Amino acid sequence: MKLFKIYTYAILVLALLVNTSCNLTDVTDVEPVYQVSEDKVITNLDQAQTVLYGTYGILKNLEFTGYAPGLTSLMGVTMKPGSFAGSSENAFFNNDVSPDNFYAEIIYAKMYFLINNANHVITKTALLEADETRKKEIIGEARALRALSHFYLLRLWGQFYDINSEYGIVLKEQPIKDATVQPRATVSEVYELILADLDYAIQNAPDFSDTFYTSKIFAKGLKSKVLLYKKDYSQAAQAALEVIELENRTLEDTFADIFIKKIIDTKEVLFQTPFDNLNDRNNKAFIFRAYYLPSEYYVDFMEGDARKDAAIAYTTSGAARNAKFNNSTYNGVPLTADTEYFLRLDEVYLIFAEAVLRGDDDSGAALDALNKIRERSENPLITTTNKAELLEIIRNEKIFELGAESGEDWFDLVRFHKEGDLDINSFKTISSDSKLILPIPMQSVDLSDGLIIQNPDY
Amino acid sequence: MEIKFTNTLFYPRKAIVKCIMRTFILLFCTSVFSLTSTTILSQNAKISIDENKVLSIDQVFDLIRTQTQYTFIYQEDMFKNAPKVTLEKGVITANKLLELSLGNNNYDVILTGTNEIIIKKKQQQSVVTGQVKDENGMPLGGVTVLVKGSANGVATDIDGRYSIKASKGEVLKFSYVGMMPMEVPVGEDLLINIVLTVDSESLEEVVLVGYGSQKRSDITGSVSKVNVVEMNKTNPISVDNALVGRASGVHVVTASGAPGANASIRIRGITSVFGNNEPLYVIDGLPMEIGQGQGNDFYAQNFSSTLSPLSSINPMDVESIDILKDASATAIYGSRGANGVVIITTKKGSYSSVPSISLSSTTTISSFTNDYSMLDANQYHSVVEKAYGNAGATIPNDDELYPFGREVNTNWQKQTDQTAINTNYYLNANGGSLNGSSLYSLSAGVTDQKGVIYGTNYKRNNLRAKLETSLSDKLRVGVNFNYSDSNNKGSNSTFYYQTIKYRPDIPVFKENGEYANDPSNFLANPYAKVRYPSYVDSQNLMLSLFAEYEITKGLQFKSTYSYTKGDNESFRYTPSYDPFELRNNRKGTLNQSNSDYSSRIWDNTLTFSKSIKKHEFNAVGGVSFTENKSDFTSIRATDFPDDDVMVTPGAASSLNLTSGGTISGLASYFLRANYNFDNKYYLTFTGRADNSTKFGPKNQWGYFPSGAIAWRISKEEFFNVDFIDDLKLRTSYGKTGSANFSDFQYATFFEAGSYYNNNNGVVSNTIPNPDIKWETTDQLDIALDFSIWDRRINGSVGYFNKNTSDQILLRDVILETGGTSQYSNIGDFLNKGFEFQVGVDIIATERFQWTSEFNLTTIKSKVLKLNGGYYRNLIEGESISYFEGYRVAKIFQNQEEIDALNAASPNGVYQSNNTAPGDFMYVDVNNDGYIGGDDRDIIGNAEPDFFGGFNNIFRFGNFEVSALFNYSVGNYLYNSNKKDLLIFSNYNNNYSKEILGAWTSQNPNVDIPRLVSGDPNNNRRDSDFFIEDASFIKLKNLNVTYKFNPDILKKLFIQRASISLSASNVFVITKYSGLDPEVNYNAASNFSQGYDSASYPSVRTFTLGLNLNL
Repeated sequence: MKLFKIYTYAILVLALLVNTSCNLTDVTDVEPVYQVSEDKVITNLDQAQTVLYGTYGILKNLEFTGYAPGLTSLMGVTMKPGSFAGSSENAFFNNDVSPDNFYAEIIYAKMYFLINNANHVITKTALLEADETRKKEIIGEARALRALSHFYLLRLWGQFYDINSEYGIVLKEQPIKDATVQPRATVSEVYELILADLDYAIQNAPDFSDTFYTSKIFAKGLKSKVLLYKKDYSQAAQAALEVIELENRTLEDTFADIFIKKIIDTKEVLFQTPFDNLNDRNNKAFIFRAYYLPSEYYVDFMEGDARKDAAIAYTTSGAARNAKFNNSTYNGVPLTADTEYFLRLDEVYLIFAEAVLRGDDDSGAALDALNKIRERSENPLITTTNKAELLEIIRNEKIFELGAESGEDWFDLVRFHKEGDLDINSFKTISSDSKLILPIPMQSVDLSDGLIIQNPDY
Repeated sequence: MEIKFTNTLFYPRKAIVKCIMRTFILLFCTSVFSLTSTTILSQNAKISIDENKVLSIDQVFDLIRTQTQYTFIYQEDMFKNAPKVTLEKGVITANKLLELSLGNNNYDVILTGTNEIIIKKKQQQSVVTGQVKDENGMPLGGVTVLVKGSANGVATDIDGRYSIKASKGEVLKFSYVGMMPMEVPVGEDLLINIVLTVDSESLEEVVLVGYGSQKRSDITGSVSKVNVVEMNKTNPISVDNALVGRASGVHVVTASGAPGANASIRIRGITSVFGNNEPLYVIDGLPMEIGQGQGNDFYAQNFSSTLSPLSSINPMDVESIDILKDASATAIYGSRGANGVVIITTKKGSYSSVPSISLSSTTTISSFTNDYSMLDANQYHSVVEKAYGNAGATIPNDDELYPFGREVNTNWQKQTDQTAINTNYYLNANGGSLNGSSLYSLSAGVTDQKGVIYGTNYKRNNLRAKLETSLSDKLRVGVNFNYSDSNNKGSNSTFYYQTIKYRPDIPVFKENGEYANDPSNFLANPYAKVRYPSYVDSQNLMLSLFAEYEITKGLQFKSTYSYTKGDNESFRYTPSYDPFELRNNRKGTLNQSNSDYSSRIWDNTLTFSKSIKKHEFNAVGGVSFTENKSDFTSIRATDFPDDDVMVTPGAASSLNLTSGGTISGLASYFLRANYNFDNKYYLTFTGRADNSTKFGPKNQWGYFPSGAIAWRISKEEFFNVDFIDDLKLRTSYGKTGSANFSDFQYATFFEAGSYYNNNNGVVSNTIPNPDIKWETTDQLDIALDFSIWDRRINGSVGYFNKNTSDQILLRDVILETGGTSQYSNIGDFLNKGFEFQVGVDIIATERFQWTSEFNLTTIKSKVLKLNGGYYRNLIEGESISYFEGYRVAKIFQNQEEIDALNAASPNGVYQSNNTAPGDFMYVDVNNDGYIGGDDRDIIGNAEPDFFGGFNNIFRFGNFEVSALFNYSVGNYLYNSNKKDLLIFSNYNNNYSKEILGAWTSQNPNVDIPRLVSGDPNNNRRDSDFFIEDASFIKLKNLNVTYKFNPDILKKLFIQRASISLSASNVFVITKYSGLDPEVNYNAASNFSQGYDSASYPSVRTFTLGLNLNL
């Protein structure tokens, strides 16, 4: 009897222990909370949208909004190091960046981080069984972001000016699983993927609704810029013209309006980052007065141009400050945050002017576009039809219009230098053409077991 | 003849009064007690007596029987010798007659339903008292005193005293582990004093090990037992701080003097970089990881916004603390054992028919052991002027130098102090049912500790209950309940160094009544700052139920289900008038965070023991399931309508909220098997398999085996050394693990918080490492336990070697992954050292006893291999916590010295362009002619060469004196105060008075560099000027206890009472120039252990305590 009792209890206890569905014992059957595993993160369109927002959010990092624009401007002619700048910033200013440069590393890594998250959106959304149009819109937006990031990587670290070059960048089309190494693609392969992404976005991304998101028109605008870099000038002109003629976006009434409006009701911006004093805070305005200041060249250059007052401000002690990114406010509260313009219509006009001139020798169309910008900024119109002269005027116009913003002047110098239109050494002392691009960060080269080839002469 | 039955009346009445007294004292309430006589018969039953006569008692009963319906049943000869009763003629109630005949107390009179009156003789019980001592005259506490053949038993108190009810002729049995039991019959003498002799065959001190206990003599691993009685003489607020100097191998450094401050505890060194290195605490069987097992980053981040669950334990509730150190002892905790295990048990009931009720109250006053004396306003201004003059700079204009006029002089230390009085009350009742089947222990405690800085305090309320009972012969069940509610005010936000550094020429208030502040920075003045609301609130609950079933003799099954919960709320408000708030156009900022943590554990163990002749075998095996959950919400709210009332996130105009949490599970299987032959040869195997959700599918299981052997040499035939009583050599080797870091780094996971245009998006973590796994520590332990000269000297000496492999470090990864580094198991660390512990009965006479306990630990840590991994400043071949910086050669005395060095330098400058006489000259370590970054050198180590404690107990008469010393030798501290207080930089803060003795050409032989604004030579750079040898020996605690004479107390119905006076941090001998060498402001950080920022200096306390035992 007693033995029977013991057995009964023992069986009961064992049953409890063995029963794996028991709440007490299945402690290792847990899913992490407040973080979603890869296989569950995108199971419907709303989730896809959430990952897409997260991917956009990466653009707000200073790597995109501050360091890359500021440091590229230091490489060019429109900026100089500010009082907080140290040797890492000076290396960019002196066009002598070493492979272990801290900023080069973090910008490079952050751009790939954006690509990785875009890849999650692209690959996982494609597998959804959901409304095809909306699915494609989301993938379109993500592919536009991936194209933007690959393009930014290419023009800083790859020989973007040479379509036959082996020195492209590492292309990422799938989300990473671990730290597996992948070799660099050739320049033409890189352009191919960027343009494929942009064509997809032009087809499928949403129509323009808001400057904070990628759209068909932004994809087309970026495509014109990529084609310009790729030297497909006719096609670049064609794409740019389509953006202009769509009249989806129009020029602001005055140049100053761009920087007064910033992110509110802008007519001209195709794509930019938001900012506020809460969750979208960044520190761009601060680093643009502490680390990256308008250069003497730029201040002199702007002399006599009607845009000077909107571009350059002076402190009480007479030092030049970047007026484009200064004293931003949000609901009347002064902020140290600001926006980054990835593409504005004024640049598309100037892309068109250069591309149509180079590709189609159409100086008339080039002049029209150029003067549209000069007219808006209340500067005298240009009349020359001399191609070389006009090309230089267009390049200068880009500095007037886009100087001390995101370093576009640097890439123009590199392109013009490579086209033989000018000698870059008359602007900046460049020890060799290999310094036209940055070295691949040492960490990647060293850890790649020889799979990732360093750029020449680094 | 009148018969009086008053001879036995006195005792019981006294007992009743005593009972009332107790109740009165305890409960502070009155209740009416009525005394009833034997009114058991009906009031109407009357007996008429027809004439005066003298009757025997038997005849009286006959009389009653004939006149009423009552019959009597009693032993026939019971009243044979009883005196006769004289009756007068008349009528008397039957009750009265019975009472007169029997008296009140010699007989039990029971009326049955059938009107039968049963009369029995009462047992002649008396209260036997006495004291139990050992052969050396030392009182023995915890001796079981049993009335043989009954369930009536008590335990002696710490003074060896007992009192028990027993009848003449019964036998009292005295038993105690390690002592020969003794039996004494109760005779006429009700005072029985006993001397127990040591049972040399079984030194049966019991030591708690994981999931069970073992005889001390059978232990094969390294386990230190903390003397809790001595520990509580230091009146500790929390257990961790109280472990200072108590056990070898255990390095305890108190974080600061703040109320409720934590301590950092390292058992045999650091084993993990990202993991938390605090030991695993097992409180009444419940494992508790500091930092919730979420790793060191988590612990450090939450250090100031949560209270350690350890602080919820009232040290007064603690019955025993055992510290497991080697692999054999800790392997049963497997993946959590690498940092050692501290097993704490709280008081439980005792088999005693008399409840033991104790009440204690202590009152403490505290003050800083030491403080900085700062410049007054005049001295400050003259120092500023000199420094600007020396720099050749223009002296700032009067607006800046005298913002509130030349007359203002404020002593901020005085403006921010308060009288620091602590009070503690503690009430405890222990006992059990008469037959010993049920035990109970109940306690309540109130702690109120005020800090020396205004507004800082720590309050705690504890409630605790432990109950167990036998449901049948074989089944025993119990419950354990522990709740505490703590509140810590201000000590996480009020910092001493901010107070003393504030400019002395700023008044508290402006003329308009607003708080004044230094216009050159945006810091509120200290008087205002300490008044900002700031607190941490914490509630902790521990609840467990167990059932224990004896399946057959020697085989027991036990199942325990436990639940732990901790809630924390931290609240920190910066009002709108704060200068920094004003500057940022904000109207008040509130940082509020709420976090809660819960853990549920189900343990099942099977314990088996068997001995056949000289073979003894015992084993415990079990399964354990643990689930931990945590959640947090942090709110940063700004812009409030006012600063006093509407300070809650809902009233703010702008909110920023972050939240998160974790969940993790651990399923474990463990086994420990002990075998010994003839108490001579011992074998132990311990192992645990853990399945943790912190790791990826292929690395979820970790296996942690260990083995130990021991040899009692003293039992061998060939061993015949007379003065050695016991000698045991033991060694163990095994593996333990660490998984005390954040969860889920093995795969890609997405987290919220990537905002874009106010949409909260999710992003991936950076680079998962699917191979991430446990950190494992292999530990070797060799030790010798000895007992010599009639056990007057007991001790242990041992060596340990802890090798941690697979340590998780950061490793660079290719940047195309989108990140720069990932966690990887690649580091190898080593900790090794010696431990020595000895206890000596130096003097053991009847009148005077002196017992001394001494322990010493040496430890060396070393980074063996990094394998390409990195973390902070770890270097292969160096210790884990070294300091790096320049070496100061001397102070330049003249320009020629500087010129000569500049001339010899390849770049024309030795140190700095503006170096001048009075500046530090640094050592050119690499001899390249100038001072560069590569001249930084290793200039000290935060790890001591050796450390330990030395406790002495003296007893004479009714006095007992305890003196605890602790010491540490060879450890360095980063005295960051020296940087701020002795080296001038600008006029934004005050300096120490010592700066008046800075170098000048007239005062050249000093070590403080010249006063110069802007510090052009950068004399503040990290150098050995700031890294100081902080070796010390300290009288940590001195306690004098007077025990009142029990005979006097008896009249007050108190069993025992003592009064004690103790002082902590009495004195310290050290070369260290800071306030106190025993600090660790970064208790939560693994890598900046020796850092002294004077955020809350240590305090000296004087405590008056009263203990009553009713």
